[in-house]
Amino acid sequence: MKKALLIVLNVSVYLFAFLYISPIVWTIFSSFKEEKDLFSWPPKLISQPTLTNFVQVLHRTQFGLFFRNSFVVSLSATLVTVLISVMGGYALAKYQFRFKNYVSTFILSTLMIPLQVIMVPIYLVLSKLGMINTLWGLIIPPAATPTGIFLAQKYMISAIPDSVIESARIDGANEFQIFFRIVLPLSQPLVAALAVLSFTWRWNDFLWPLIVVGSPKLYTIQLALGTYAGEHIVQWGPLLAMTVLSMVPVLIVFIALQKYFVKGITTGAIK
Amino acid sequence: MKRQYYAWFFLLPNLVIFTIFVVTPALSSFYFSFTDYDMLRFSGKFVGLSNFRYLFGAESGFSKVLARTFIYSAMVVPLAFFTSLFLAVITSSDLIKGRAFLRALFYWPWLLSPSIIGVSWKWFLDYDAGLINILLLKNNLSPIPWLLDRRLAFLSVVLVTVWNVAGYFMVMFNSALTAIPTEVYEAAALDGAGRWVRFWKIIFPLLRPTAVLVLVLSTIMSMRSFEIIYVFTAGGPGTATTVLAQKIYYTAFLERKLGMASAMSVILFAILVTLSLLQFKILEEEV
Repeated sequence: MKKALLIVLNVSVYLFAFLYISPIVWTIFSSFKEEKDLFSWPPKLISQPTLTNFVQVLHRTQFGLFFRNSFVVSLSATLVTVLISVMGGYALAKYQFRFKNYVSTFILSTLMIPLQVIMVPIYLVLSKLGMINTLWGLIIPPAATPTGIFLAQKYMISAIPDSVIESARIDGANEFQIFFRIVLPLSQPLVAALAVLSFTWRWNDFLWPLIVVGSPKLYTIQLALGTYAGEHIVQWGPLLAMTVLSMVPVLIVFIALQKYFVKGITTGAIK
Repeated sequence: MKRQYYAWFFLLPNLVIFTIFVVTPALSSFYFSFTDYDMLRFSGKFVGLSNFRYLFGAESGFSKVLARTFIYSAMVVPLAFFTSLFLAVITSSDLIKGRAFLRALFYWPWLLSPSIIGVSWKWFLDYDAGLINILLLKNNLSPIPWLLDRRLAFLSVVLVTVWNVAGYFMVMFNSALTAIPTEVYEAAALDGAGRWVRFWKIIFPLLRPTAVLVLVLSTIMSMRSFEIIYVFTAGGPGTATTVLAQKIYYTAFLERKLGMASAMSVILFAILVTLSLLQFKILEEEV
């Protein structure tokens, strides 16, 4: 292909890419405008950048609280998810036991039951257990995920040879020692991938907190964003600043562990 | 202690959580769908099929919601399919520089939370301050009432959904494209036909397993759409963008009719189970 044509092709692809993410760029861009410039007449595309909205978010709203709630929930849920998924995957990969096929099918079948279908009864279950409006209600129920268990199972089958486990048994290690001292340390890539997935799911989650949380004291950052956006008169300046701030953690995780995302470890996994 | 008991121990936390928080609720929603349970009294009595009879009767408006959900899905699925295929092709083509960067960029919307997407797009399409309308005004054209007009709002919701999922499916197409041996590309190039014809005649048929999976997954995703729409349009204006999952939420938590909402859930469940079984069947056949 001719060189000029190649350049035109590349330029148009990059132009398209820029347009593709322009809603996000526009949000970031607008968050640095003063509230009066956001709705000025005639409209202005560019104005003096300012941190007013961010200052207002940090000082006048309960942003710190929401951010902390999100962190507490995401981190502790990730810890639980990683541990129980690796345990479950290990059991399915390395043990022979009765009803194993039924257990696999049972776990697989939960993939077919998304939260959208069970939000009514789950609300009743949580209120029976006194978990509505608690952090526990946010952390524990979504911690078990079929995707996590099957990722772990697949990893264990291919990356951890049976001989390692067998020789540890011969050396006299008990089953728990084998899991915590040998299998877990050998599963670092798996743990990293699960941690990234789980943190992103929990940090971004909206529907689960929407059902569990009623009191603003327990709002996660996502729930706060959704609620403020739904108000009759939206305070756009602070809302946009809060939106931009809430992107940061996932962006950091994404950039730091990009290879786990794009290499398709998530393929076929819809949460 | 027998070794197999340890397996049960390792599986226990997952099984307990699944039983209490997934399977029990799923089964009990069938029971609730036959009652008039409501959230104010926290009680209800058995009413047989009357919830379902009401929903499919003339005055409930539920068939409109159902039809809207199917139309929404019928628009999202093909658009998401061709958008993601297009993104995969341009980020796999050796004519384009910086492919990894572009891939990450197109994948980005999939990583954003529903709230961020809802807020950003609501702002982007705002009547007075959205980017497109400002550009239109600057050029002395009249602004477009994106989220104020029923039809435009519906189209916007479709567009945002496609934008959200396309990067995810792009990655699936990317790995399928990478898996095609280079000889196939070389042989295709020798063929003498143009790139366009070569792609659809030779490359595209090899993507079939991925293509089918993308179609099924996007159908499932679109049938259960809730979160982005909740933040983006809250189902409005009026009920123009109220799809099935949304109707369930409003019926349960605003109107507080848990029995009625459960009946709707059972209908959604039936649709999703059918689609999931189809997905498993396809996965089995292709592997």
